[in-house]
Amino acid sequence: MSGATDGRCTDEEADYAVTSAATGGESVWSETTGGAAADAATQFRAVLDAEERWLGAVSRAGDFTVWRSRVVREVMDRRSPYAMALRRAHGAGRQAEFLQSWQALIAETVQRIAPGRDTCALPTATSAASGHPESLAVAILASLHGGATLSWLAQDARSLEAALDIVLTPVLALEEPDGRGDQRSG
Amino acid sequence: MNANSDESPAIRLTARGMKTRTRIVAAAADLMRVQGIGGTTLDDVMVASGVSKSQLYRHFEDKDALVRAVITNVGEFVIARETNMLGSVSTLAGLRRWRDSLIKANALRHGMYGCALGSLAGEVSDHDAVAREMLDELFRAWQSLIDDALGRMKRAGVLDDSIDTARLAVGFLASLQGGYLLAQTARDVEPMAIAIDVAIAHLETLAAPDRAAS
Repeated sequence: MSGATDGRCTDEEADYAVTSAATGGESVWSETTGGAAADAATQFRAVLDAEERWLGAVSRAGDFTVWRSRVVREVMDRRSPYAMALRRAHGAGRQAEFLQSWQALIAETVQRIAPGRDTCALPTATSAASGHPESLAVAILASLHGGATLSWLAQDARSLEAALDIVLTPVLALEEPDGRGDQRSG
Repeated sequence: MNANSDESPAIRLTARGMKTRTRIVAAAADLMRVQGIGGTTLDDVMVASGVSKSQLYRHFEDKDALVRAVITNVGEFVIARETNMLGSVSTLAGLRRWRDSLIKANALRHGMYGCALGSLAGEVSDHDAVAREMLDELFRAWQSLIDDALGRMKRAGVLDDSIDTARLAVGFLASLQGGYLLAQTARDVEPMAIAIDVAIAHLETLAAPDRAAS
């Protein structure tokens, strides 16, 4: 192991305090929306409803950090429908629909906070489309899923936090006065 | 002849046993790849590997034991492949070739089966801590290979000196794993390509001055 995130431990207490303040407290999932008892469709619906609300609350680039902290908390909470929806193997058709809806919500949010603007400075042709909101939404959702897998295996939120922080770098850079800012993260 | 001719019957039997074991694990790995862990029964494995029930239980006391053997088997394959592909990467162009080969390999099957290791990680049950820790260790090894490649890029002056390659390696592996999953559900490799391209685009913004095209 390379000690990937050693020494970069996020202050989870602080993160969660911010999230709790923003959400008005701890979210408690009932057995009908979370836990092993709920079926996949119910969990997908619960995640999409929550995402619609929380992504809807993102009105400027910096708000994505609140969303990010909340997503990390949900994914690491075994009772949350997020954890179940990301962990369980589902029928491909239904899962594809779920992921597409989630991706569309993220893309709309990126589009809303950065209208008509590519969200990343791109030096080469390889990455020509990488700054588009649609592409960023795919990348954010991929990092969320991949990070959730790594964090679940390690039973440690840091991989998911790092993955989301890195993929959100070009979005958060919009907060900088020049609209691009310093994208260096690493 | 070699030294094997001096071996006792018991050892020869063990060698034969190893062959049987290998056949069982290979069949189980194939089945779990396509049907998932949950969708694969020990009866399926018996039929697919052509071994008897008593042979199967001589090697694996239960399904958990078989799942762990599959994890070891698949893990060895993936880590060997990644060691081979990432081992010589020290430029952005090299990293793009790594990306291209993963995408191309996955595109052949329309991304249908995802990452062999990632699929197991998505399905291993909550209560099997041993299997979870085995997978964690394999993903850390994969992450180290990416970290090493990024470290070589840094030492070669391709990447800026100040970047934390270990942290970026986590991001790359997460993008890759999530990309496999999105490709799998969409039955299309495109989302995986996008996810890795965004990660590479981010890396390009961290390139040392004048080296972005290298």
